[in-house]
Amino acid sequence: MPVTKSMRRKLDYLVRATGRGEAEIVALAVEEGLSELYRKQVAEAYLAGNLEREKTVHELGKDAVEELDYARRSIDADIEWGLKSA
Amino acid sequence: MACLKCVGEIAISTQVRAELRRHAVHDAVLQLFDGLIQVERVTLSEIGAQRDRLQGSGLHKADLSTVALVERLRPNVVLTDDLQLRKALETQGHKVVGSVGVMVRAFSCGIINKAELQTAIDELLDGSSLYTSKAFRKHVHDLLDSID
Repeated sequence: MPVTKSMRRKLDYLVRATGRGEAEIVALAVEEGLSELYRKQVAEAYLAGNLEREKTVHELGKDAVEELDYARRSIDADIEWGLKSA
Repeated sequence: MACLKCVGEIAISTQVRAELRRHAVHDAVLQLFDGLIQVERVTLSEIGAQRDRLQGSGLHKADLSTVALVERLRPNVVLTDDLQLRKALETQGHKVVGSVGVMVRAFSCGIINKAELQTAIDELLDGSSLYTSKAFRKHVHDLLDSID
C-alpha cells in the first residue's frame, strides 16, 4: 500500500506521540478502520431492509440503531410537513 | 437558501448569530433574508437553565440558546438539522423540521421546481455525515419520487 505524504506525517506523529512502533500503529489503524467500515456496512444493510433490527442492535448497539431509526423518521416527518403545510 | 423565504419570519439567538459569523455566512444570510430574520438576545442565565435541564444531552451553547429562545417565543416550528437538538426539542413537545422539510415546502409553494428540489436535497445529503448511506439516499429519493 503506498504511503502518502499526509499519511507519513500522521504516522510519524503517532510514533513520536505514543512511543509505539510503526507496525503496531499500522495494525491498530487497520483494525479500527475495518471496524468502522464494518459498522457502516451493517448500518447500510439495515437501512436497506436487508438486516433485521435485532441483529443490527447486536452488531451496532441499541443507541446506534435508535439513531438510525430517528434519522429516518425525521426525514419522513420533514417531507410530510413540507407537503401538508403548503 | 431561497427556500427559507417560504417559512415567514425567523428568529435566531445572538449565539446562533455568532456561529453564523464564525462560519463567515452571517452577512450573506442577513442580506438574503432582509427583514425576515430577527435576532433575539439570550442571556447566559437562560442558557445555564437549559444546560441544567438538558444534562447529558451533549448540546452546545448555540443549541442551548435555541432551546431557551424556543421556550420564550413558542414558535409554530423550529428549524434545525441537528438531530440531538431536534430530539431535545421534540421531547419538550415542540414541532421541529429540518432542511428537507423546508425544501419540500418550497417546492409545494412553487418557489422551486422538482428538479431543483432533487438537486438541493442531493447537495444537502452530500454535506451530511449521517445521511451518507446509499440506502438512506434511496429512501429519500423514493419519497421524493412519490411527490407530484
